[in-house]
Amino acid sequence: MAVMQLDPLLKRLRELGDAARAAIESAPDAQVLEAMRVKYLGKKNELAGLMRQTGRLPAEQRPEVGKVANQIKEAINEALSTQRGRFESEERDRRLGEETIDVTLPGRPFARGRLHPIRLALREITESFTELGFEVVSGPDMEDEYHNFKALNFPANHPARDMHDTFYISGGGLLRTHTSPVQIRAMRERQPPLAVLAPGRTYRCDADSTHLPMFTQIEGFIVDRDIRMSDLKGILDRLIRRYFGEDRPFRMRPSYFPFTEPSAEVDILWKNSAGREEWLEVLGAGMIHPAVLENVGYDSRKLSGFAFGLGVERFVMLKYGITNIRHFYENDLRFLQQF
Amino acid sequence: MKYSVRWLKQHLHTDLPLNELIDTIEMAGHEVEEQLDLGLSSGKIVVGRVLKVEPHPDADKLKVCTVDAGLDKTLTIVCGAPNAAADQSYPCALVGARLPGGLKIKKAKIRGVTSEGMLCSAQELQMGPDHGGILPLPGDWTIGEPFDTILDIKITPNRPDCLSILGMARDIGAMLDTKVFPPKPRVKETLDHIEGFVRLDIVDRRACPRYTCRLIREVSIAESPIWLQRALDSAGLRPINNVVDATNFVLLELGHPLHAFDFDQVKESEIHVRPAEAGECLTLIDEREIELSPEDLVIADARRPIALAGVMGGRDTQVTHKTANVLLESAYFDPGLIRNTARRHSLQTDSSYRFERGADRNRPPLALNRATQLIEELAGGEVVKGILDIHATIAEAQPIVLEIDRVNQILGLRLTSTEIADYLVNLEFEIRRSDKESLVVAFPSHRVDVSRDIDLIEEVARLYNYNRIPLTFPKIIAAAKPPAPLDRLVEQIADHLAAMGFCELMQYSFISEADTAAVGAEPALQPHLANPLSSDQAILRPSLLPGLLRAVESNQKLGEAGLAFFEIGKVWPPNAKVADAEGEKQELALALTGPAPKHWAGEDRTYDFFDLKGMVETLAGHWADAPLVFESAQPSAAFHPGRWAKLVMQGTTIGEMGELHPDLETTFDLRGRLYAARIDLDAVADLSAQKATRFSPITKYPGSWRDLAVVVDRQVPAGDLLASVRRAGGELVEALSIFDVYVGEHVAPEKKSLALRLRLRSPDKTLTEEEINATVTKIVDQLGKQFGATLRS
Repeated sequence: MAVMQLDPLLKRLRELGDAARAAIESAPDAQVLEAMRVKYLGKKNELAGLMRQTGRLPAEQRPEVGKVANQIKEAINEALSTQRGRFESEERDRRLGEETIDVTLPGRPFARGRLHPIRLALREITESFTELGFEVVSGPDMEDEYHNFKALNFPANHPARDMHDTFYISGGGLLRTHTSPVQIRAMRERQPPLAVLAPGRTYRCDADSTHLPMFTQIEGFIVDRDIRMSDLKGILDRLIRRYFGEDRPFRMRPSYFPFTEPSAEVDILWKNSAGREEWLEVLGAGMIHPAVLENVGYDSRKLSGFAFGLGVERFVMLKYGITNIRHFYENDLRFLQQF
Repeated sequence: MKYSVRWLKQHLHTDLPLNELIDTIEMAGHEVEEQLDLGLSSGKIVVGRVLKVEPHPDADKLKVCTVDAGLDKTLTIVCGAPNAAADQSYPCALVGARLPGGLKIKKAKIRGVTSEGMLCSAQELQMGPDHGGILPLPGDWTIGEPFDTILDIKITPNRPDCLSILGMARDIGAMLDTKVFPPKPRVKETLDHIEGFVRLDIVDRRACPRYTCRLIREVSIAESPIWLQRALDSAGLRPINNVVDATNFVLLELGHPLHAFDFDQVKESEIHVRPAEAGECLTLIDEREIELSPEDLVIADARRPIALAGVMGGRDTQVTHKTANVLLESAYFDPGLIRNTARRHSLQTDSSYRFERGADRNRPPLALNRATQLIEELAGGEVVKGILDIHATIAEAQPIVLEIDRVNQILGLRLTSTEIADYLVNLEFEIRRSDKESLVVAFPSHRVDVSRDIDLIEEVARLYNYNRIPLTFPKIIAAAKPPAPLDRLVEQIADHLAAMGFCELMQYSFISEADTAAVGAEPALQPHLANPLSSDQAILRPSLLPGLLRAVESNQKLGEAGLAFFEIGKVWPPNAKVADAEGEKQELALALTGPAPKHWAGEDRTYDFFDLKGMVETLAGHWADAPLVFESAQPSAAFHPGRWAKLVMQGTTIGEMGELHPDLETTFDLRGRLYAARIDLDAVADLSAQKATRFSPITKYPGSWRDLAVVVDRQVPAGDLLASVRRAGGELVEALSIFDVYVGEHVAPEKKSLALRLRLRSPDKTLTEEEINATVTKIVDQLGKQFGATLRS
């Protein structure tokens, strides 16, 4: 057996390595790449063929050849892996490209619900008072003469009752014309000091373009020692600024409600449709009449209080620029979906 | 009441511009509801005097007037009114004026003649109907002065003293610190005394605390002079004749109603103020015949009632053009009595309006003399000497003790005794005693609203000006209770439903009888309104459902198809009692109909029973730990008998849901099937108050899934089957669902196959295959025993 020369063998090994890397790098697809892998690293690979020839080398030269062969094997492996990675990445890019969708098409629709604007306003206003420590109290819509009128200092058979167009219930009773009867109920059930908010439905027997037979009121009142009209102004100022925003001037005008004295109508300055500022009435208020305190057994010399009542529909109309009060209870989606 | 600013200013001496005057009136507590600008604001409608009237060269019916409107030169105004006359003043609208109706006055050529303004009629000024042309004005009104502005002012029921020109002037005067004086009429009398002519008798002194009258003989009835006619129509009253107009003038000027009788028609010259007798009738001035009752107070002569006291006179004794002798009445009647009478006969007159609010009981003699003086001036005649005046002795109202501290405590001010006294004196209150701590205050008889210290405190606040009161903040009451569970529940439900796609509605609390009956309620048992605005709004709703159906109906008509509505509100059970807060129930109602939202990639799908059921289940999951049970039983009238369930939570029925019964189409015009639910929120609130959330430790042992397909008779309710599985499997059954229901060729007829998916898990250990199989076998055996169920092969 002829003795192998070392250098030609190393040279052939290196040539093989170079050829393999070049072939791998130029493999057009994964299939060819696999064939390359079999060719260069498979059971009958060329490298192994060359390596079998090392037996013909002197023993001291064999480790050198083994080292070079391993380097070449690693290089081939690395080239294979790089190339395989390239193919996988190209394949993924292709697949992702194929999966492209039109993101501007509409999403799967989910019906959007709404809360009624009256609920939204009730919440907003109620929250602004409960955070001050007011308790929310309710009373019946179907009231009696005593709570709706008599206990609130409406004298029997007096024109003051004409201020309220009342719905009567057949067989006795009425639909409350305001939320003020809750004052009487709440005061009887509690002892001062008390701060109460009473939202609810109220009813008047008139309907025209600006009045509904049913509307929503929020009544608020405080009874304690030393409650002053200036306190009422402080609370109203806060209410108006919270609901209508800062810089919303308001004024109080003397008025008459049998259950408060002094009584006031509260106007806010508002731009009308012609752009001119004018005073708009938004709520009624006053110091609770001593006769009302006496009617619930309170000592009117020691205690005083204030009360206010606001029409929620009116508040909502002003805030959102709603011009027709009838929208609230007509349940037209074109209205309801705006809130 | 309508107030002429021109007339007010005759008594109230002020230079305030109109807008400030209006502000003052409003800050005195009198709301100016409407402002009819007839020149005071714009300056463009003035008193104009016609100097010359010439025929129009080119039109028979038109005249060319030369008018002095107080300007540098006279105006040429073309006028079509038949009564346009020289040396007569009229309201003259200048070029640039805008009439109340919106008409803008421009320089215009009318048939070749340039007209530089317009002479106005009453109708053009919206002061009432025309009396045959343009409106003549008194000759002593200054030419070129603005004509007038009419304020319509709302007088609150506590201030009848302001229902007159003088009363209003007095109240504004107090605000402006100017004094207003009442007239001091002087009457020329004959020598004969009235006692010789008239017999006066007051039967009921409580009903008529004061009655005064005068007799004026030989009057000449005629049309009133222009100044008087203008005064009446500025307030919207119709001029009639000089005597009647004089009484109406005093009504407007002083606020005290009077009545004039044709004395020759008063039988036996007797005046009796007495209750009517049952069966008596009276024909009123307006020709209405009324039947009187003993609760009515009448003015009667010797034989019959001749006037309904304080409300309206009788036809037979009214002053007509033939009247020669006038008996003039000025009285004070009990407010409650007048109010009852006016209401009983559905009559509201300028007179009853004032008496029922409370006239000034000391005013009758002054009003009587003022009217007498006017009649004497306008209708001539002779005034018989003396006044018949019968009155009960009226105890003077007790003066009020006003503590200065209390004034300041109530208002949040620091006023001194002197400052307070000054305000009250401005209002004609009398300070009887004063020191630093208190005042003793007597009040004038026209202030019928005053009886205690708080009334005076209000007056002080009013004159001080509410807007000068400072802003302070009350002590905050910290011991607030948490919101009522029901209130919290309602807000939570509203939010959940909105998030699930439901739109919230609010409806009137009252509905029609048909709608009540349609949902199975008995209309006769529901509370009814005695005076509904319409029969559609007569019954307090037993349920929110009819309202929701009406809303679906109207929105379907607008072209909306897929609808999900809810409402939360009060309903009234049958026989609900008045003033019973507990008896009024809070209900939640849901309605779902039409197509579910359609996606371009999905299929068309209509909402069905299980859509609503799923939503209700999700919602109810928030309320209690136990699942909501859907029981089929006898449905209520509104629902499809085969698609209905009673909703039971922890053994309590909380509502119902189902598909609407097709019979409801007779009442509601609905398109397509509709699914609805109603839930008693009071019941839910009680149950959810019991909900006690407890943490259970999270188990570390794995769970195992098992699927079972069981075949049972079709009518076996799935809910019963599931309950049985849970019972048989015990606490190892962690999750259980039905993932398929099959009916068809692969199972026997009358049978169905239900595919169940179970997850078994133990908190203590990993379950062995044997344990799992044993549990499944137990379940299958139980289903076999209970329902004849077999495993599907």
